[in-house]
Amino acid sequence: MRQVGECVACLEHVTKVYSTGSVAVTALEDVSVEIRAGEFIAITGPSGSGKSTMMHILGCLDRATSGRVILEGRDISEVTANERARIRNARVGFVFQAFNLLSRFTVQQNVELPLMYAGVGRRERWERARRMIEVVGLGDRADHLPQQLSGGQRQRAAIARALVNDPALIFADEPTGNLDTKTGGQILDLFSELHKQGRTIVIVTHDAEVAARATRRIALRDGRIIRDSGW
Amino acid sequence: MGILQGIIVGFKEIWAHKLRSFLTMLGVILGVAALASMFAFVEGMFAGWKQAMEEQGGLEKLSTNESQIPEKQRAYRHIGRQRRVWDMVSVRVNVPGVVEVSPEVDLQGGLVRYREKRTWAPVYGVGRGSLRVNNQRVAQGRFITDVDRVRGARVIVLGSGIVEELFEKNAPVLGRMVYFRDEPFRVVGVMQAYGLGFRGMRRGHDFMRWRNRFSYIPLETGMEYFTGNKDLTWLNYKVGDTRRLDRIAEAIQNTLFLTHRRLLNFSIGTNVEMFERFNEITGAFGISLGIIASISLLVGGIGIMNIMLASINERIQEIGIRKAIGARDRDILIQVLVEAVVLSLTGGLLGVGVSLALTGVIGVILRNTFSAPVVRAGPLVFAFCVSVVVGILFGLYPAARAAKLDPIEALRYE
Repeated sequence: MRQVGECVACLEHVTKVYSTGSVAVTALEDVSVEIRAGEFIAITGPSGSGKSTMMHILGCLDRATSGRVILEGRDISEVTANERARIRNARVGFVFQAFNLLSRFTVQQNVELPLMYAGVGRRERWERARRMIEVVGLGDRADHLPQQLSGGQRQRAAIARALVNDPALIFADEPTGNLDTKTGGQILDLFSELHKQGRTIVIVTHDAEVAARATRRIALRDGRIIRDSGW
Repeated sequence: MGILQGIIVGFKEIWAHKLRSFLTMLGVILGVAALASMFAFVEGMFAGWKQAMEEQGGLEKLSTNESQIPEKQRAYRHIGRQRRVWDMVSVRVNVPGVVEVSPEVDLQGGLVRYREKRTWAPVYGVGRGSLRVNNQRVAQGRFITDVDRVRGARVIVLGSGIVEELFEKNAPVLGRMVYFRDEPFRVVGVMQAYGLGFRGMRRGHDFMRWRNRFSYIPLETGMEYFTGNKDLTWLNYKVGDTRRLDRIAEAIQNTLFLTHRRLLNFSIGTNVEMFERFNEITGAFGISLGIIASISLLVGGIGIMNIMLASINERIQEIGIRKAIGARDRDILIQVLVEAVVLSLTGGLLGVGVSLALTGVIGVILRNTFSAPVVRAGPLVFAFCVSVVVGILFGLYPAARAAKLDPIEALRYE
């Protein structure tokens, strides 16, 4: 685990322009932000404000049109697709609103998947995945298929999958959006728990209650940061 | 992700959509079955025809036939000589490539009688060389010998077809007296039936049935009792080395040119043309059947491509998820490709099975003919490999498309 306060990821004057046909849409405009180890950040803003885009660029899912993206001290704005896949696999973990588990695989297999792409051997894969499933409190559901689980349980499985490769950063895109208030609260408790253990977490949300859990809030509007509570 | 895991996932995917997978594979199954069966049928035809040709002496046989004298030699045709035994002797002595000669005289056939039974048989006057030149075998007793010829012996070697008609089953044949055109002959041998002992086939085929009636008496006996002159109908030779066939034919031509006083009243015939035609026909059959089989395989491949594209569309989100958690383009490519190959591979295996069943059934139907299919491992393996190649070729495009999907768009896809 890295030193608290050390810079994990940062954006330097990042602009992202989507061009669909003749129309160019600016999703991010000259955004600079620094994310330090051990932070629990909430990125808020209305839909279309560019918060998901920011997360995608930070998480190596998308490329910035201009500006520099630095992850763990390394400029990743220009790395190859394969290298980006490797970074997504080993250095970041994603949790989505719609859980995005593979429905044909059990929880165990879903959690093992990142390890499989990382080339981890079968036995170690199984053990690490099982340990992580127990961390999120799904030990007795490991061999269930996603559709046999409740929404909260599915999201726990997704969190286990995001954690299994011990990433430097965890991104969660509206992780409680598909859950009722009570289970949503439980998932947020889990994130808080992980944060206490020293994980760096970035949650994208438009829910003020969710944002209230974070230690730092970044508000976006029209592709610009309009407020940053700092750390 | 390893290939092995990809294969396991591929099989799971196929098992999850049994009917759809089967329908997809059907194209490949039929294509492979068609390809493998086609090989077996052409192979069978090839073997049957080849056997038929071998039994007429094969490529090693040369023959001298009567021929029209050319226009400019017409004026002195009276000095010409017929083909006689001395021709054979000079060829045997002067042409080293000839390993056996067979002077033959056609006695035009006639009635053969044994006790009350009678039948019509084509009978030839021959020497001992006939056996080797015409690739024949004696089943019982012996063939005509030199001593028979010198003595003008009244002995006969009967065709198996004649024996079947004149004699009771398992009745003794050797040493019995039969009458050919009312002249008594002692049976000293019975010819081997054609087509017997090769791939378990018996009789069938009219041509072979006809050949099985051929019966033989000593050459000089035939001349003395039936033709009344010393002319030969055929002069047949067996050549040791077929690669020198042309040279040997030329040497025979030259030798006979001298013995015939330079009159070209003969021609040299070979089986080369027959063999070439046969090879041509076999090749043409192979190619046209191969094209038809290929088309059906192509259709099978298109079916695979179609279903893979559909299944990718169903799984765009899955591909997005996999990419988000670290799958490289290559991992996705391999996954889709392996699925396509597993489909075609399973189809190929089933196709080989269908082909075996098909050729088995047709083999039973055609078992009495020379065209029964011949199943060999090579073509089966080849057809199977082609199916795998089809899977790779037609899986490549869908796989590349899946690999190129943008992860964010794929994740958003509903």
